[in-house]
Amino acid sequence: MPSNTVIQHLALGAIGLAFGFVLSRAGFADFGEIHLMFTFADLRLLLAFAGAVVIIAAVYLALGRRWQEPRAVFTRGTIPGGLLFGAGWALTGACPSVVLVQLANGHLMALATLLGILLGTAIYPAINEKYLHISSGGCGL
Amino acid sequence: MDFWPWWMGACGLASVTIAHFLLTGRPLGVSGSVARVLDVRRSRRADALSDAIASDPAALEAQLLAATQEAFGDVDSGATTTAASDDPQGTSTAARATPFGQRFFGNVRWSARLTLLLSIGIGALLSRLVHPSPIEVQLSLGPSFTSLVGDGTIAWAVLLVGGVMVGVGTQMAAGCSSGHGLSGCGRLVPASLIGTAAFFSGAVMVSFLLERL
Repeated sequence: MPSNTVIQHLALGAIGLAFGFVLSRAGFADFGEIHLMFTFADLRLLLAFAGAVVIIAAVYLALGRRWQEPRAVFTRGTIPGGLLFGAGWALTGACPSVVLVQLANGHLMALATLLGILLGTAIYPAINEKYLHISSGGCGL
Repeated sequence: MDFWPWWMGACGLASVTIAHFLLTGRPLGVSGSVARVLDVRRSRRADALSDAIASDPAALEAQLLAATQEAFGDVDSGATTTAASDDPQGTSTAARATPFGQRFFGNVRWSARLTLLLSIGIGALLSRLVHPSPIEVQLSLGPSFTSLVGDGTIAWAVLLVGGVMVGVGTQMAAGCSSGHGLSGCGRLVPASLIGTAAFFSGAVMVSFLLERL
């Protein structure tokens, strides 16, 4: 599908609405619920996440492995980047989509998280070019 | 506040991810969308390129051929001329180059990824409108955050630093909880399974540390 047509905007707009709705009602934007998940005190969100992966995998296999591309490529950055992101997620209760839900739910402090995420995302290419030299692989994920 | 049971959350997240595949043919990935929205110029170039490839594979093939010949010399010119002239659909290229949606509605000036990000926030607002508990505008992230991290300047600083960690980490790992976690793990992509294991481990370690401090 071409990148910037009205149809593309309508499709991604509908997906975004549903995604924000689900994240909010499932409790993924609630810091307390996230903390309970990561300390294994309440398995509800963990099961929601794992259950979603199982359903997606079942549909993916049932449809004959369509949508193979683009796929993430393992690089030197995968594990340290993941650890860093996880640590930030535990501190803020937010991943890049959840921070928007936190804000919409009236948590003004999430503005600091959003600013941080934008800052981190914007400076990463420069950090990578100067110190890390990790090829992105261009998978667009 | 009461939340959905786990299976409703699972069905919701899976539906959104699968709908994204069905409608766009690509994996849902929010950290990638943030990066693309921030880097508008590079993003436009990449979009134009992928649109051109999708709408005119014959032209792409011809360009690749030309580039190959430029790099390696004109080794097998006999085969290449046949390939170039053997294009029965060459005349219909102009008609195929304008995609359906664009022909009828034209383009929108801002990126569709920005529409995705904004509508995530609007979707969350809608969820609170249909739910009885009203939206409470408050500074804090809630009682759990206040007791574990604190409030005031320290809390703002922790969130800012944590946000930078999320931003840099997701770019370094080339994916977040949607790109690696849902789209990647759901398609059994090895790098995404490893990435997801890494960010869950990091989050579990820091969450237990927060309880100790």
